[in-house]
Amino acid sequence: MKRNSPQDQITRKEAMKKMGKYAALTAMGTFLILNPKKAHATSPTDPGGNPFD
Amino acid sequence: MKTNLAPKHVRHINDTFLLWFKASNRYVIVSNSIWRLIGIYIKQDTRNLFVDQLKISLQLEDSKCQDLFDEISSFLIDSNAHTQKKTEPLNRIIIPKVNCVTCYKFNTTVIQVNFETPLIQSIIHPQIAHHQTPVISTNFREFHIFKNQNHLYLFRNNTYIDHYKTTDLHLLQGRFALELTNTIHKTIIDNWVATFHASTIANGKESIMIIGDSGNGKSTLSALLMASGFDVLADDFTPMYEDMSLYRYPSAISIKKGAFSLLESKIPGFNSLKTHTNGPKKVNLKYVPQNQSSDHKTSNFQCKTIVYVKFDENKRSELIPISVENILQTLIPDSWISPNEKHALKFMNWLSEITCYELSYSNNDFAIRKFNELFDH
Repeated sequence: MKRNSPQDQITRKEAMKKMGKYAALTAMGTFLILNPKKAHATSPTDPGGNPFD
Repeated sequence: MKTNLAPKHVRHINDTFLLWFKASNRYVIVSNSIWRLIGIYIKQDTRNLFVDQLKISLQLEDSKCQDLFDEISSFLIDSNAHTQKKTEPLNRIIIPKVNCVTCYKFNTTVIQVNFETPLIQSIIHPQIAHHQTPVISTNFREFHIFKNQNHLYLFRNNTYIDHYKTTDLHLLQGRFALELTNTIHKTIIDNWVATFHASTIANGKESIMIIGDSGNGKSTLSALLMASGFDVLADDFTPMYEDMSLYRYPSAISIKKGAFSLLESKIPGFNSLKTHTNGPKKVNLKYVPQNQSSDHKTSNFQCKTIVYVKFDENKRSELIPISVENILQTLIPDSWISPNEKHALKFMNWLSEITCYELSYSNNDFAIRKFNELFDH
């Protein structure tokens, strides 16, 4: 399953950097780091954008 | 032995291991082979001992073994680093004059929210407008929400709770949602195991949690299921209490313009709901209140099923079982999960018992039929 919401998209460069940090480990099998949010939140972005912008 | 770097708790789920690190409140999914490597790293006192064991047991090249040592070392140190909440000095803040005083009633609980301006009111009020009640002078919990420079402040009963950058509006909305949940269910923040970015449907006996990426149709599906007689326990924000039940969060279901024509024939009075034009992009939204019928008043339900939903009009509709680790990739990064060890342990135990599905659908009737079948099972 692939997460693809806009706020979760990262650049290819960032992805390569992330992969590179644990390249040897990820080559050995499943290795997924999952950090929960640090604060309670509703949907990250209002579809209409931020009204304070 | 480097046992101080080991994860605090480990669960074997399906073919993988779920690790939890207390200091960072981090969850990690690893395969059996990587869990074994981590075990060797923790057991062996030196780099050379680790490398030698890998060379013998896995017949790996020296350079590969050296890389694995460095990466496991970096990963474990990182995972055991304490994450500290950023604390900004709070200057003395005076609650300003408020322009929009609104009261809301949830069963027998009344709250008063004092919004500084109509703009600030517009970020909270539409979702709970169906609970608005005339301003009354009785015992109620009072909230103030106002802006000071580039921050939004939240006060409860004239006591500071927190403040957020205006760019982090969703954090204020999330904290207010939790405060509201605490008030309705008469509890405190420390007793929640998690607040999931998910919708939850119930049938009067149990609940099913719906997750999915933004724009995948969680809210539209929730509204359709409500129109088919199900109880929407929560939309977008699902709190889990330490009794491991999911609890009601009574905000309206937010529906984007693209789904208006679908829902106008399904939900009585849909067309008469106010259309809100949100944000600088002027996106049209309607907020559909949850069904208020008396058989939909139960405050909480157990949940043993999670469905990842994905609406795609070009795909064949299907419901397939998937592994819990697939679900976790969406669920954990999108949710707040208590860093309390007791709660983390309960959460991991709950994950060991749930069944997960992926629902890809282009046909709404198919999706509703499948939810009926899941509840029947």
